[in-house]
Amino acid sequence: MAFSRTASRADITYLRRRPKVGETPRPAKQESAPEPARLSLKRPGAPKPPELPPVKRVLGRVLLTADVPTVTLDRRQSAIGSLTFEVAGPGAVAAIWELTDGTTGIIDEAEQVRTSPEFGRRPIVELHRGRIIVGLRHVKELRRLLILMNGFRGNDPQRLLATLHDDSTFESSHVGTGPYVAALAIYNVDGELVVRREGEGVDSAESLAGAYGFTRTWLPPVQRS
Amino acid sequence: MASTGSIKLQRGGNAALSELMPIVGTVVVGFGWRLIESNGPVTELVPSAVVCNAQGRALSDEHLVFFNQLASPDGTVKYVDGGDEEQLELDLSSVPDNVDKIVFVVYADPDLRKPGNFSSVRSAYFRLADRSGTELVRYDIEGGSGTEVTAMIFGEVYRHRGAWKVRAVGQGYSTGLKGVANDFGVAI
Repeated sequence: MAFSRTASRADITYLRRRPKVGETPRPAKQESAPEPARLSLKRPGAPKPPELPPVKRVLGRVLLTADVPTVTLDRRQSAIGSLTFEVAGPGAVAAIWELTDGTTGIIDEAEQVRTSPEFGRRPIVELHRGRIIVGLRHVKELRRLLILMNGFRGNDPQRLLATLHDDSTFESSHVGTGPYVAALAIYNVDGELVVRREGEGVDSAESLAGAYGFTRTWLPPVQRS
Repeated sequence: MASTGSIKLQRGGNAALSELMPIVGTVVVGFGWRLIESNGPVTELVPSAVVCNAQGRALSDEHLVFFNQLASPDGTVKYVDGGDEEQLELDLSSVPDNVDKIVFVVYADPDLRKPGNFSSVRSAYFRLADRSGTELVRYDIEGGSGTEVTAMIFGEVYRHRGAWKVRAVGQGYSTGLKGVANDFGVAI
């Protein structure tokens, strides 16, 4: 193919003629070429999550009411020692729990069920001498927990008292709108336990479990006597 | 692991990290122990790091790094998945200037269902390794520890005349994590 030394090559941009005097140069075609990949010496990592202010801790005695129904335990309070729940008065405490693997169960003296799966040879939630004990060393395994009360007498309110490892407490008071009342719902939100006062009354722990979307999947192994 | 070249510290002993690695950057802190078998509840040891200022106090409550608070706010001290029982990673080249030392505390979780002490703990140690896993320095905690020990400072990495050093401490607490937290000014 004959090669012309004089004809301009429109296809090669850098050979295009210079603009004549007084002529407005056409802007060069803007190629939207991708940024050349640069060698990064940084370690790859997930993008930083937005900074949130630290949670205000439970200090001393916190009362949960219909107007102030929630409290959040900070990351230390949510993961150290035992969190206990007890009824101040004649009633009894029960619990419905759900682990992060989806296992759920009910702890209720009336059903003679007092344990849940063990971590470090301790049930993560346990009824022990009338108290519900939650082992916070393995809080990562716990997704949510519902604390119930029963044994109401007439219209007398009953108080549910929760105690943290540092002896700080939070509590709520309820009247028996049913044989069982859902007192507190506790959710593990990324390592912080968020507590909400509830108050619904129902006939049984089982029906309350259903109302809150817990499907009972776990029963304690049969004890040999 | 390759422990032949590493320095063995005795209680109270220290070593300069600059003499153990060419560039003092990221170091991995490994914690380990053995528990005597029993039928009852297991002792739950929790390693943690307290990031301290020149006065020996934690910079904030968030400067206690443990399994539910996985990194210091600046990200230079963090829990990682690796060998040993637990591991922490320190990015010593990026630790802020107001950090004077990082103290390694192991506590027995104070679960009400006991035993919240070190009585079943044997062969506890902490060691420092570089990022490739090569052990640089190791402290095997001497002897057993009685039922009165509920938390223990294994050791610390601290600044000395502008350089990082490591010290074997091995100091037991009978007041548990609470006592340790009080000493460092952390609300737990």
